[in-house]
Amino acid sequence: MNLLERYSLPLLTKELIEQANSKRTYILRVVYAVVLYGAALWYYSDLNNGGAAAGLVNLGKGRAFFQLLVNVQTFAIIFLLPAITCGALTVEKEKDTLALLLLTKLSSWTIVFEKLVSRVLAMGTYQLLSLPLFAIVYGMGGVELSGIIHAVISLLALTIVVASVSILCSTWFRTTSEAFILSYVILFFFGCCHAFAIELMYVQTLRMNQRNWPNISQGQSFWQAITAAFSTDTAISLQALAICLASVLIASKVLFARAFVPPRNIILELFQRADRFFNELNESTTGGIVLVPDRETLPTFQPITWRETRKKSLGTFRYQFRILMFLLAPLVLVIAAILSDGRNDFTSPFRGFPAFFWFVSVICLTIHATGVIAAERIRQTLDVLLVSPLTPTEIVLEKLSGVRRLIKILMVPFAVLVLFQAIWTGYVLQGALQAKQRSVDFWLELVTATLVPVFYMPIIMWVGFQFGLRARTQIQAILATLTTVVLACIIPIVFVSTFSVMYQRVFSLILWVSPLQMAFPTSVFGPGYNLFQENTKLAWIVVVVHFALYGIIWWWLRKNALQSFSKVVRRMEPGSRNRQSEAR
Amino acid sequence: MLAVDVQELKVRYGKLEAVKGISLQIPPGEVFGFIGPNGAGKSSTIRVLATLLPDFLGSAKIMDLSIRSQPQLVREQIGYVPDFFGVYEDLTAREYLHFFAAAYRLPMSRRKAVVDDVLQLTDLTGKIDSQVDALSRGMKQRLSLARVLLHDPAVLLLDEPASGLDPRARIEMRELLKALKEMSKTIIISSHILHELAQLCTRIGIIETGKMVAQGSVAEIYQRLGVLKIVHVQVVNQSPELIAKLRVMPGVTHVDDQVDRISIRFEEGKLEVEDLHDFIHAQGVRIRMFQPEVMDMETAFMKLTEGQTA
Repeated sequence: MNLLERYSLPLLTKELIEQANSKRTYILRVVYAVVLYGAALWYYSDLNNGGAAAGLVNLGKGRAFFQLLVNVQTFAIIFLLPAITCGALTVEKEKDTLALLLLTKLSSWTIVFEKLVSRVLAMGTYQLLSLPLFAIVYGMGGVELSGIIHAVISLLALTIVVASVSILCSTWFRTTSEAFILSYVILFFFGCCHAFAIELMYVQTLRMNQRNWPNISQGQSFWQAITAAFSTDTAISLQALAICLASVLIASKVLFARAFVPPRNIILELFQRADRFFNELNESTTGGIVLVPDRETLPTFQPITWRETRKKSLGTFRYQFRILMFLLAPLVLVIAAILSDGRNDFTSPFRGFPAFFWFVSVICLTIHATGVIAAERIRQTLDVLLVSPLTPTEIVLEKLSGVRRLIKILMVPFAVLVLFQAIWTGYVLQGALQAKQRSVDFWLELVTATLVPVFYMPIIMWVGFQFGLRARTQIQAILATLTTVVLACIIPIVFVSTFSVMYQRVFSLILWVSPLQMAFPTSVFGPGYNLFQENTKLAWIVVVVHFALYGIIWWWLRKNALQSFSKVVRRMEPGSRNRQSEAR
Repeated sequence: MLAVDVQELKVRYGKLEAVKGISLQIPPGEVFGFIGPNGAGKSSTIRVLATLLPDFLGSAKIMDLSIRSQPQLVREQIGYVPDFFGVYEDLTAREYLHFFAAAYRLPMSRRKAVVDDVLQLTDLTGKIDSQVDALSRGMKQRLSLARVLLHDPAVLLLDEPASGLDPRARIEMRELLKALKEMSKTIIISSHILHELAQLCTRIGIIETGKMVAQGSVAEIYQRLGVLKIVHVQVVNQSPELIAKLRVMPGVTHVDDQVDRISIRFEEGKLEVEDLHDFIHAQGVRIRMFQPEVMDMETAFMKLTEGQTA
């Protein structure tokens, strides 16, 4: 065996060929290029005041442009890389092909390493897309070569860390969804208290324009710049390499042991453990008194609803009650603290709670709604369900009954929050506000706060369901849903930020199309003004128009899901379109 | 009234034409075996009949109900077992069957009795409270059959029901299908276990590259393939003259003088096996072995198909 054969990296070759043959690779790359170059164009246009000025005026303004590029790249690494890496080994497990790989002469280390490299290279191709923009930035001035080298090293280190953690999760877990979620949990942990925080910090400090740049004057040689950059980035590089090495080593050690683990419902197991704990606690404290016992019943007339609400993790009353407690407990504690404090001069005591509730709600709803059909596909039970006489409307609505029940649970903390906020601002603050003059209409705030969860949660449910119905895997559906939610929030803000200079206040009303702006109406996320404080009448009109618009979106998503269900799952219905006869 | 009536069925997946104009007429109570290599179009045909493939050309009816215009009514008449288990593993056998009893809208008053009956028929009564994921493959497949019997359908569509089962489970499955045959159910079954189909089916259809190569009763298929028959003969005092006389005998097409036997190929219409036996005996040789070749379903399948896929 010659040297070339010994180090031929067959798995890496196969992975790269697969990526090259996949349409998705090119679609994602084009989408990424459009986003990157679109952001650059938008920023450049903004820099020139909509094209009114250009050329020499821009000299030296490259740093802010550079910061934008680094931000987009960082976002892409954190958002895209786990998505493309977490399936590296879990897909092999799901397709039962990992055993075949393990039977070859490839060692566990080689398998993990080649899978890792294939994903890092894929991410590298995305990063390469930004090189022409870096050249433009360098040409504009304001950024030194060492700064660019530092950014490249930081981004590379971030890529390696994210990919390593994702590949470790992919090795450990049975399904891609589990690996994906846990990758973010571990990365969050790193981000909070470990080396990953340093990587992010370096990238962020570039953006925030607070970092001391390497002490290199203009005119220094390329090699001097590289040496200087490397000397400051050695720590980053070493930490990234250490994390990568540790992840690959652990992954290769556990690859065989974790190759044949049966599928598990981790959430259910978590709940069952909690169940045992609380039962023991109940036994020891009350002697086993149960106020609302769960009854083991058989399905009567809505079998899918029965299964969704009785047999799923979030089904039984006990589990739902615990989720409610998890969300409510901190809120109740803060309310108790406020009431006991005696202060009545602060207007927004719960600023962080809506954000926390929304974060939990969006994640829970997305995972649940995208999984209702995906789970049937994975377990190969969808066909069996489709040949039953249940109508498509019955199937869809019953499948979503669990999600609707979850929405009701998630509404409770929002309702408590809205109610307490209303009482607080309406009555407790009345005296204090006589002096300060209340700036926001009480009823406007109350109605908006009530309508926001009532409208947005079902919309997220239907968006998640639509993507879950069409996507090949649940992870794709989750990503697509989260991307849609993020885009719906930021597109109006970006739009207004781009054009408000020209059109001023009237145009800034578009900001209120964003659900983010409506969910947090007292904060302003764009260059507009605080409508709720400045013009109550106009704010009422905006609120009515906003929820009318989202009401139509909600109605359309529901109608479309019910109508297109059979077509997407290829179930014959009276009047189904026959594409074959049409093609004739 | 035909239980299944398919006329010029065509199914296309993109550029691939999976089914190229199949026609089937199956009367009630018949067990129709669908034989063909992988990718021949068996599953596509069964999926059309199960209302799970809306894009097809031609007409397909079940119990005189059009699949295209009355799919909801067709679903009441069929029981479909896919080529995978399709069972909810987080339920017990009882919950699983009650789930589908509710889905098929069985009256509440009858459900328990029906569930008990189908469990008894499929020999799963002892497993009624077992979790489905704890059942063996054979039991899961029997549970799938129990499911499709809940609403007492007229037509059963079974796509490779014995696939992946061990010999015992296959025999149990075969016995269960025989019981269903006795209950006058119309059954369409696709399988690779060919000799089992031969024992079970009243009629078979051999499909290759989306076309029906042969269709008829098992005897008819054998007869059609048996136009050229082979008889293997061993004689004690074999001579070159005997071989020469056999070669010129009317109806004989080929005589192969092998080390341990003479293989005689002849046209069945022109020469009877008994006449051949008499002729050899008349030559004054002592016959040690006279064995007409038994054509099994595998041989028929190999003769009729060329191993191509659509």
